[in-house]
Amino acid sequence: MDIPHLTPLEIEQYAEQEVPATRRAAVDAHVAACDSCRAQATRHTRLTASLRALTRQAAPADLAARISTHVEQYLTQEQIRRTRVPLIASAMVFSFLLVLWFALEMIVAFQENGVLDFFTLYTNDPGLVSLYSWDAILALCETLPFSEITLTGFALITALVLAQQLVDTLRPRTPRPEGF
Amino acid sequence: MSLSDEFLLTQFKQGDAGAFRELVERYTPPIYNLAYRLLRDPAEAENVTQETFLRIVTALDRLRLDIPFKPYIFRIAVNLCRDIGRKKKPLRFADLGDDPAPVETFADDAPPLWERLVDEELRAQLHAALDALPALYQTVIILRYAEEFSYEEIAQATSLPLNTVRTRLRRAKQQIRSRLEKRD
Repeated sequence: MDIPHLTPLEIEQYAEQEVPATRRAAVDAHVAACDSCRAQATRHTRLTASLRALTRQAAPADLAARISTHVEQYLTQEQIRRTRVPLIASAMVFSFLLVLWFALEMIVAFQENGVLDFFTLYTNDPGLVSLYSWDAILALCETLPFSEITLTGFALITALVLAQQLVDTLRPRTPRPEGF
Repeated sequence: MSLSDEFLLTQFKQGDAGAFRELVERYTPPIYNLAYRLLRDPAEAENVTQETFLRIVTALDRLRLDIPFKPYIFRIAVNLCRDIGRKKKPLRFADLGDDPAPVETFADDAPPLWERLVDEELRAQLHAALDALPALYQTVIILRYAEEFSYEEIAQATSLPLNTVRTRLRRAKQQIRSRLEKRD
């Protein structure tokens, strides 16, 4: 036969029925006319047919049901988790407002007790502190607004814990397989 | 007429749990088959199958409905198998980016002996030849012939360029033929 044989790629494409439309008629005609190319194409086609006929590894009969159950459990938990978001967010906002309120109270208390004046004096002239005796410093400490400091700290910790909970709740969780 | 994957996914996004159950029923067998073939471990294959669906559920809000679902779900499964395979058998999966050297087959018009074997023997030999392939070739063979993927779908599922898919498929079949001919 004087026409050139099909290339291995064309034989492959023929077996896979992937010959470009522009070449399809020519390739079909060649395969019909050329014994050698037809034999090769037949071998390729047989192999692809055998591969298509290979048995699948069967999944356990209850696998799909187990997966569906697990997914549904996960979705239920997610729904519960999402309903908690507004509650946690409100509590967090309220806690931060409390922090602001207690912090203002604390600053006012610092001002009223003269503690801020002491710090201003110290900042302007650190040498002055040596003029104060230990008794004076202890007396100053007694004027610190401990209740306001404690309340501010407590509210701040509460607000931060709630903020962390909110972030955890909003972050999508990757469920781990259970019972598999 | 069965409902399309994309329709079921839309239904699931709107809160229909039954739609997802249908998708699980539809894709559990092929994904398990793929994972089992690649990992050869029933427990790992189950884990991969379940993890694939859980990944879809967790990514549901970000899931695009305008891209075909089938290559997408297989891409998750292939990636999971690759991750597990890397941990278990680093040498088999480490070179997923590089194709091994092609195995040359000799052109011969006469049908080889393996083509004349009875079905059962041929099937067993084909399975053995397939199992002996590197994971990167097994993946394209399974997707193409067990799952009837088009070349484009295989490219999407494996994140490979289309021409690489063609090359891998051709080389995979060359290797299978070569292994079968060696058994003659």
